[in-house]
Amino acid sequence: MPKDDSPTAKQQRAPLPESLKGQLNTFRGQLWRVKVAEAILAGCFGLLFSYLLVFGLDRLWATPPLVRLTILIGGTSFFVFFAPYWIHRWVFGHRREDQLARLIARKFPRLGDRLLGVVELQNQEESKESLSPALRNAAMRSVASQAKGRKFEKALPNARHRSWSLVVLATFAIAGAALVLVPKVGMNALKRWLLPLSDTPRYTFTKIDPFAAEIIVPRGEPFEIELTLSSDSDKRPPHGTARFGIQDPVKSPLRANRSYLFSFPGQAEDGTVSIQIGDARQAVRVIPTTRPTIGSVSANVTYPEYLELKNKRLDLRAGSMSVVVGSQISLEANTIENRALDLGTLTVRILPKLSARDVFDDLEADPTSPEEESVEESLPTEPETFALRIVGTAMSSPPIVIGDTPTELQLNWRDSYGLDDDGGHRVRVEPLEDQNPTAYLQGVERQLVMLATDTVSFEILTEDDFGVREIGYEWAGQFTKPTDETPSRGDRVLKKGAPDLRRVSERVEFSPFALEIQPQKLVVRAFVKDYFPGRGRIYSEPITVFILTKDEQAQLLKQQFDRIIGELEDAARREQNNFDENRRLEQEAPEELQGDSSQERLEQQEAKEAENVEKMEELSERMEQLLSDALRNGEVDSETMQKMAEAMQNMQELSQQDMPQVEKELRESQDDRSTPEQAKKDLQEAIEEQAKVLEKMRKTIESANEANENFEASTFINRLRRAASEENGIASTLVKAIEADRGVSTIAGLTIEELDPADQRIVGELSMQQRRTASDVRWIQEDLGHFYARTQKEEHKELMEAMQTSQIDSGLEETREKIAVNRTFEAIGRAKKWAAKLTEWADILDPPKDPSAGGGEGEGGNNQGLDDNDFEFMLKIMKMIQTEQDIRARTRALEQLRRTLHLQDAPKDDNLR
Amino acid sequence: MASVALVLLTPSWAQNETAPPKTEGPEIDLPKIEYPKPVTEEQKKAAVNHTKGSQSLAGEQDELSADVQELIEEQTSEKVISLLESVEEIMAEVTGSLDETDTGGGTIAAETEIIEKIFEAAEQRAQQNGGT
Repeated sequence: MPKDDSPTAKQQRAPLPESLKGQLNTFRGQLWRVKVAEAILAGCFGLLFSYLLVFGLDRLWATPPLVRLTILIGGTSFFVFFAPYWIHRWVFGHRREDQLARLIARKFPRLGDRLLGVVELQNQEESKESLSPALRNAAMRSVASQAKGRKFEKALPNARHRSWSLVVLATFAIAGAALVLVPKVGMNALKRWLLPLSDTPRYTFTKIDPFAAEIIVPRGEPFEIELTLSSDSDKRPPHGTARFGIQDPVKSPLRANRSYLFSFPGQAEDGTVSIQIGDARQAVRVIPTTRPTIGSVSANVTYPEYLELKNKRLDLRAGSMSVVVGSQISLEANTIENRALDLGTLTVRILPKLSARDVFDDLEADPTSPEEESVEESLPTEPETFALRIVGTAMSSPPIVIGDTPTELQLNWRDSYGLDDDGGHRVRVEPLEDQNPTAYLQGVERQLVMLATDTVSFEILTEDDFGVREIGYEWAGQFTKPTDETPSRGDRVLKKGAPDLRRVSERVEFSPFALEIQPQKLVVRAFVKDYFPGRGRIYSEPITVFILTKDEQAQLLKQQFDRIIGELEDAARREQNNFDENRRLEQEAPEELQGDSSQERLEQQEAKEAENVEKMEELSERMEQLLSDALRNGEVDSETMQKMAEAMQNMQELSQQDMPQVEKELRESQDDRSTPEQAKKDLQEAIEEQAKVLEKMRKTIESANEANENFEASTFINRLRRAASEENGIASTLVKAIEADRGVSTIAGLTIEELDPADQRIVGELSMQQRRTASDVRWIQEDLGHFYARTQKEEHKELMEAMQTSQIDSGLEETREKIAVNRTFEAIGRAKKWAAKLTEWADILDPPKDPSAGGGEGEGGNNQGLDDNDFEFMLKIMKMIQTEQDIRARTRALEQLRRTLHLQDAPKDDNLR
Repeated sequence: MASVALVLLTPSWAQNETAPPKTEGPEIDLPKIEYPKPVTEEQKKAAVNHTKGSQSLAGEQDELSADVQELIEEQTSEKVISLLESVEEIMAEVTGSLDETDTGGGTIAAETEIIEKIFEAAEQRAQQNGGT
């Protein structure tokens, strides 16, 4: 029904009686007060309770921020949500009389209904025909009178404000007590309650210093966790407990340093360690991880500057390396875990030098040995430590200079997880002394003889542990008799090396001709230089080269020929003995020949024959060499050469054909398959062949002896000429000594005591030379006597008699005496006289050629003459070939000299011994 | 007796080094030798030694050439004479080279050829005597 808001209608409403209206207003006021109080008290309770809840929970555990936030929201929700709702319900929902009447009706239904009726009546409009104002007023009065005396406050819903007040008081008291009694705890809880998301740590009575919430430990290795009580910890529990996952708990007592140390066995899997110390509960996340291990190590070696070597990088698969003293080493290493490194160190430790006793256990210590002292002196010094340069997983050390003692380099590192290496990596560095280079001469005898025109080839081999700088050879001469000439001395650089060239070799064409070296005794040796400062040349073992004159070589060849003939005669005697024995065997019956003892004898005969063949081969080779040398000498006449060639050819035939044939027949005579007759026949054939061999040997010896006689005769000439040359040499040396020092005589007219020591030495040496010459001449006379006895050649007899008549022996001795007492002029005169005499005697045997004589010889035209012509031709050809070979060898030596010109400016070391 | 002479010509010692075989293929490029020039006193002295030595060898080669000429006069075989004449020519060439202090590979090769040719002449002579 629509309301009638017109003024007339309002005037027709009937208000409630004042008493009733007052009662309702009072009831409404009471209702409002109670319910508003309830709302406020509930809000206070919520806040206090939530605070106390956080306080309480924090005592048990570190209440997480979200939980604390939830609690705070829950606590404040009483104020935020419950209180407005409550007020809305009870204040705004019970402000009109009808609302109040209905609330009263809950407690007092009849009264409530009447009150509700009255409230509705007052709003009825009087203009309606059905409404009687009087009745309405009467009804109102009636209800007001019924309500009068009734206590509406009893109709109030359950009023809990008093109980709420008590609860709030109680919680407030508790909270206040917490704040007063344990203010740190209370304030901490208050802070954590008000600011749940802040990082305010939970307050505990037991306080632990900050520690890592997550640690990385070596996988599979025992580890420890140490927690330290804070200095302001309120409590100091005597024990703490920690537990890895669900493993057995580990206890630790409080230690003197206010810490608890928990030891755990090695772990393979990640886990959490829960720690409880008093009311403090902590958790540490443990992540087992493998230690950082080394993947590769290399060393950058910088060699000492003098070696001129490039830097080298060495992979250190083994834990040791060797470098030359003075090198610098920088180590580089990588770890394999692909984890960045945090830091690294290099520890350099000088190790004691190894003594011989350390190497060889069986050496006993010698207390007096200076080594003992040096070991004490070289006690290891304190190790030095250097920081490594770290880049990712790589680390590198600064360069370390290696001295002359063994050094240990130890790398240690730690990765970004804080894990250390497992013992580090050690490298032992052995210092290497830069050793002397070595030089060898190869392809040459230790002693050799040669003519000045010969060339000898040999190879110089050199080696150094780092690099050869240059190689070459030196020579130092020495005259075997006094002379006014200066012995030859010199060197030749052959090849330059390089810092990294460890072996250098070069072939030498050593030619006295090219080097202008006169006949003398030379000591030749190779030299090598390396790059070590101040070391100088290092020499090879020397070889001795006797550079001979042609007559000296002829003497030598004669001696060799004598030996060959002697050995040939021995071989012939052995062959004769073999022949006799074979003849004895031949006399046996055919059947007996195949008996054991005969077979054994035949076997021996075959072996003896083989032995003789071998000897003949050797003699043949020596004869060939002798012939070659005689040809080179050029002073052996063609007849002698021819005889020598015949002897050589026979020896070759004997060794290659005839004697092996005898050997073969002897072998066949032992054949088991042969019949006795056949065996006998084989032996007879061997004997026949051997007879021919013997005959050939005899002829060979004869031929060789003839050649030797000729050779000997020609050497008489040489020996006489050489003796003459010696006498001339003595005379000219004395002349030079007199003319020395700008024409002023230094020795003439002085007694031997007055002479300068150098002149005294020369005079002494000349005296010795004169003595040797006299001795040679005596031997010539004696040899002549023997030679004449064998050859019966008149010319030799005449010469021998001439020499005896001249009394040359005493004459040469007198000359020596004059030299010895420094009768210079007398000595010169006598020496010259005997030189002329000796030359004259040589001319008897070898008359000077008459240029007008022409080639009258050889005109006979017989067969022998034709053969001789052939031989002459061949001899000339051979000499030509020999000469051309010598020229070629010397050309080669000169070419070597020319190509090594630029190497000859190096400073020489004056240490040629 | 001729056989004795032939024995003497066994290559083992009459010819220690044989000349390289002649090839008819394309010419070989031989490395050019750069001879160092003498600068220091020591080097100059060595250079003088080289010059003196080379010219001395030229003299010896010339003497040997005269011996060859003398030998040619004694010969009756045309082939032998021809061979010895070519020897003489090469010897003249070598003498000239050595006189100009050329001791290089070319000169040494020519000397080797001389040895070869002399040996060939000897063989030729031996063959003729053996065959007649």
